[in-house]
Amino acid sequence: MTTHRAILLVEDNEDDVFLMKRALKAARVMNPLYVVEDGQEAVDYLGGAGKFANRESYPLPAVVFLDLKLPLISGHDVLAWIRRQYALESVVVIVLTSSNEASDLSRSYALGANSYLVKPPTPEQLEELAKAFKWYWLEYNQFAND
Amino acid sequence: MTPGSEPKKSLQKRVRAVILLASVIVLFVTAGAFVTYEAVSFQYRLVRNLSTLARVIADNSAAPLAFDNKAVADEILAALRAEPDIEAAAIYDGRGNLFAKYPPALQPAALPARPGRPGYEFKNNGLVLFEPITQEVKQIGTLYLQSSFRGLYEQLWRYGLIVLAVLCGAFIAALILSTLLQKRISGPILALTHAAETITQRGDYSVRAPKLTDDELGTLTDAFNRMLSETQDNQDRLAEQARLLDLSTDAIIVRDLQGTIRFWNRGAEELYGWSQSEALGKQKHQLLQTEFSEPLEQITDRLQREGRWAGELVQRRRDGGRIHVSTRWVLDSGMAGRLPRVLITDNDITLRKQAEELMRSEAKRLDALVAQRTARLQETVGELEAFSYSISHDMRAPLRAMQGYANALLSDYGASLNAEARHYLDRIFRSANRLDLLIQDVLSYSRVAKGQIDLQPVDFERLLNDVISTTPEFQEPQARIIVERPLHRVRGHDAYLTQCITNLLANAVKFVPERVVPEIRIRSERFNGQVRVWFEDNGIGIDPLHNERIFQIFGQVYPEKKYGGTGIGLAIVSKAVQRMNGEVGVISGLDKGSRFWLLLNHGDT
Repeated sequence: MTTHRAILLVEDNEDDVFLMKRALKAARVMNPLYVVEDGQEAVDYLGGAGKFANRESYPLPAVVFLDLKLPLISGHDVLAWIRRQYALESVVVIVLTSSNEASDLSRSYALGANSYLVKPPTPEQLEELAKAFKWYWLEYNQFAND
Repeated sequence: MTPGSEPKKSLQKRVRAVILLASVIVLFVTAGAFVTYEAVSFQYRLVRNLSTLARVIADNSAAPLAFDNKAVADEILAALRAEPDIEAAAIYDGRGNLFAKYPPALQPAALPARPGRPGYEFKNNGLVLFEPITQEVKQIGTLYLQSSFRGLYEQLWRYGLIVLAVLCGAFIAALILSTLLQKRISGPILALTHAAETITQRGDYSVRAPKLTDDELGTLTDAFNRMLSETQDNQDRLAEQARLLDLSTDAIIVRDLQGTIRFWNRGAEELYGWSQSEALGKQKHQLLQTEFSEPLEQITDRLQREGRWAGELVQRRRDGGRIHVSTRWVLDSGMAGRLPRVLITDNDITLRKQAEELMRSEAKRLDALVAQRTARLQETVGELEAFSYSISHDMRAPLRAMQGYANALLSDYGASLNAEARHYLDRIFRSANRLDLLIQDVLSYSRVAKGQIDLQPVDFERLLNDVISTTPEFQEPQARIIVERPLHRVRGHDAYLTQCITNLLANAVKFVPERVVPEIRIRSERFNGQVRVWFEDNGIGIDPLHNERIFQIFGQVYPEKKYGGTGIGLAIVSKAVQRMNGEVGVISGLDKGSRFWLLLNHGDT
């Protein structure tokens, strides 16, 4: 099964964290969800720095939901960093942002994002998105390190 | 004494000398002839007189001699006292002995010892004469008379005095005559000379030599005066031309090919500050410290080849001030026998140059200002873009939260809430929803307004199909859309056109009377080389009063409560069409449906 794969949500807005958690729950995504609140913490988590060195407590995620507008290190820079790490080359990075600016989009793909999602305006649409995510990324998608 | 008076004196002297010399020669010749004649005739008269006297004395002495009366003979001789010229007299007897003598005191040795032959003889500055004394044909003795030339000398002396007096008189007469004469001869010449001197000294060609005679000199004077008159005419003409040249405010300069200034008018004096006398003979380019815009050799070459050159130079005034001049050079090849010269006309364009310079620097300043403002504007635009980006992120996030929490509250605790509480939650939810729509539309509008686009041929029909097929509200049974295919291709931008189609269709399906299925007919036509696309609906229509207002931002005319919408949709259409060099308009009336049209460039243009 696929439920053991960890998901990392990089999101500084606690409301969005709440809504995302709620939507994933509604979509019955059972995978463990870890949340970091800024770009630096995301880099630390993925790089196993400090308390994140304990992979028992903080397992390496298979999927990262990455917001672009983040404190300390921007989402684009986190993405660029991830794609420079050999150990993280098979991690799926899904940009989840409120921006639908063409420049943000093209830059994200250029830096190696696997997908680009605009945060839906309503909870129902977010729930639909969570369901679609589960259906596509967790059930149909084949991960590299299986 | 002026140098000019020298020949006058000498001419006068010479004329007078010639006249006097001629007079004196004539007088001397005349006097000489007269004196010679007088001397000869005197001698002749003397001989005759003495002969007559000797005859008389000889006749008177015959008796005393015959009678040997010495006393009477002395007495007769003594009568010779009346003749002062008779220096000595003697009577010789028939034998040749001295019989009587005169004067009585005279030594016999002073007399000839014996009588000579009868006759006369000039001897010892005098005349000696022997006259035979006869009685009855027989010679009885001889008379001797000796006369001095004293009378002759006295007479000659008298004549000499007379001649001298005449000479003096004649000389004076000649002098007077010569003066008068030389006035007649040299007068006209001197008048000519005087006129010539006056012209030379004063340069005044209006002077005329008086015509004093009607002879050759008169003709000469006339010719001289005529020549003067012509010269004066020429001079006047030249002076007139020079005066006209001086009237010119342009500097007019003539220089030779070596650069030496030959003419300098008043305009040049005023422009450059150098007076004519200072400038003439100077090297023009040195005097004015000319700065050439191109090498002088090049200019000279052009001047030789084309005969003229015009350009702009920087030169210096006498006071050192730099002036810009517009200059025209014309090569004057000159009349026969004259060296070619260059006629230069300069005028001061310093003010114009300064104005140009000012304009240039002003233009540069304005350019810089524009660049600066543009940069500031771009900065502002950048800030605005950042602002709208920030809106899309930051303002929509709390909205999502409001919607999310309201939704969560409703679904998690809905059962324990009463109807009123649920209604409040619903109002919160819908308000948030509407604000989100507003923000999205404002963002769309600003994106349409600011984006850089390339216009290209677009298959309008394909775009329309895409929009309809991806939007359930535009499909049956919610709406009926009839497309009169084929539609013309237009020149535009995919995203902008999609936005236009979406917004127009959204309005058409929204603004319909209750329980009416929206029906929209879409067709296109060529219009003045462009393409007009019609969207004709069966909606509630728009009062023509609002035909313009509806295309303005927040220009909605129907209550939001009834139809929803943000009032930005048509403003986005208008802005997008404008960015594609097109137009949008509507023909409508209340309850008559609306016919919106888009006028766009044809896809083949």
